[in-house]
Amino acid sequence: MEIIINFFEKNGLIVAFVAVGIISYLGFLISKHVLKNKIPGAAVSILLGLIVAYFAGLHTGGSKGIADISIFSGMSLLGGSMFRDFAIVSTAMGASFMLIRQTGLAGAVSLVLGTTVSFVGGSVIAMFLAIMTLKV
Amino acid sequence: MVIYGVSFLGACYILGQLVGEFLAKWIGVKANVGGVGFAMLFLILAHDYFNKRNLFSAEAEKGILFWSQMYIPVIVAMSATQNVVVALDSGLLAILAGVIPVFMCFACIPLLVKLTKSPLNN
Repeated sequence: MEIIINFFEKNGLIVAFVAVGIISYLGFLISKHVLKNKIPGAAVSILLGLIVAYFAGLHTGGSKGIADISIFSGMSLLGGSMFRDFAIVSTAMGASFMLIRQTGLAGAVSLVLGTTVSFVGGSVIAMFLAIMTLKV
Repeated sequence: MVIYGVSFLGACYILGQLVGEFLAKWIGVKANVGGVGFAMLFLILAHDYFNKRNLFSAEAEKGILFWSQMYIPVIVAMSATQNVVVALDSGLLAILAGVIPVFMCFACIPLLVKLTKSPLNN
């Protein structure tokens, strides 16, 4: 047992690949057979990830979800900001500059709205909560 | 070679994130401001430039496409390492902060449709 745990800790990133693969497989199975493809497998997988993180958090009392269980510590590397941002940047590959220019005004406006609207929304909620806590 | 694509992507990532770091320093924010966006912009522009001159092999593109397909798995790993217990404990705020901006963005879609001149509109 000791050997296995040490081995898993040493090879964290690879363990994370396997673990994410299993979560995704379950997510796509649920999406296909239980939800009849009404909700995409990717969304179900992310939800499954959150559920796993919830129970891991209850179990360990830590703040890093499943990564607080030592054999899954590699999950914090795969799900960390470096891999996340790297993968996001790569998704821009499919976009062609010509097509983006064709979207014209609507494309440009939606780019700006996408960031500002969510930012303003979040800020308003935060301010609202701050006012409420001050009164109580 | 696949590594050319991965290396190309890495270079765009580093350049973009560095711009984000310096921009943050410049406007006095302790974070990375728009680093991912700049990196994406560099990737689109540079890929376009090399592609037009046939300098980008299909093999190299595979190196980038692999990572774009790894996006959802990385997000699954990210979700599995979130502090969900605290998020659920703080209850209403966490849920509102997630739901309200999404609906605000949805509300913008009809407005954006009016701006488009595509055949879809007619």
